[in-house]
Amino acid sequence: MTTMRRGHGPASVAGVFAFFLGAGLILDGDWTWRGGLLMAGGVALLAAALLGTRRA
Amino acid sequence: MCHPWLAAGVTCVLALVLVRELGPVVRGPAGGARAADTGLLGVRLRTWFRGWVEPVVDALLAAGLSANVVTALQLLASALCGLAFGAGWLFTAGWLLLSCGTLDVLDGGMARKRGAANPRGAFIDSVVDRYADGAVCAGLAVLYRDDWALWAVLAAFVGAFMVSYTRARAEGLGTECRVGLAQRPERYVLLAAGSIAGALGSHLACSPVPERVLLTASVCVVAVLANATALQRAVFVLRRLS
Repeated sequence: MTTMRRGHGPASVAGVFAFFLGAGLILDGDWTWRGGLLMAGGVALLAAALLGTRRA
Repeated sequence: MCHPWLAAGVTCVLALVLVRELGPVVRGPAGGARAADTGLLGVRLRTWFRGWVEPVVDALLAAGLSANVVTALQLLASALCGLAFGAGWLFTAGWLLLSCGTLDVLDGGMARKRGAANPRGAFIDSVVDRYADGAVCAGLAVLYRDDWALWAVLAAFVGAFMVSYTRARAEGLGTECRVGLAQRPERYVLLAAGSIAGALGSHLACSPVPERVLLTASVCVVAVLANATALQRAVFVLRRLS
């Protein structure tokens, strides 16, 4: 039986990826809405991972 | 248009993630392996990164994806990275470059975990890796088309190909050659760091100078280290063969 460290897992990796990709869309291309949505999605995924996603 | 507040926020989040994740790795006990043998990133960082992506490997396998699909995604990400570099989207390009490296680790991990690691898969992976390197360098060449740094990009391109060629040729002659200061992960991390830090610096300072200086510096460092690594491998193989 393995226990993942809190905040580690597919959701947190996808969250980090989406957050920074969204930031890139705003910083590089001024794609405010699309980038903002990606960043918000990333934060939601990260929050879900950090608030207790533990797999037995 | 510059976004200093967003750049400041992203810098803080990035610093937080790096300190939280890499702090324990850096403070951990030092390994005995030399950087010249294991690469600049070292064994501890490589082991930490493999552990970090391990749950993703499990999730992708559970979703029924094969390693070849992830390899194809890596090729797509590298093509997008080249386009982003060509368009001057440096933060996005740096981030996509890190994603390419991650997908490269993921496909190998998936193949090993599924017990499907075979010469055919390794061959496909190597070919895709070279095209991925080519796509990234092509994007950088477009970005620096009117600049002296184009020569550094070309040197980095030649060095990157020679690093893998020396190993492939050595293996063809029956000698294993895994040494090297700047292998693919090191080159990607250096380029991505220069690209991301430069883009954030430019937005914080509202000036194009930091991104030009930092990315150019990282391309020059990669050019020198990649060719030094190719020479290091050539010397290593020559000693083994004599």
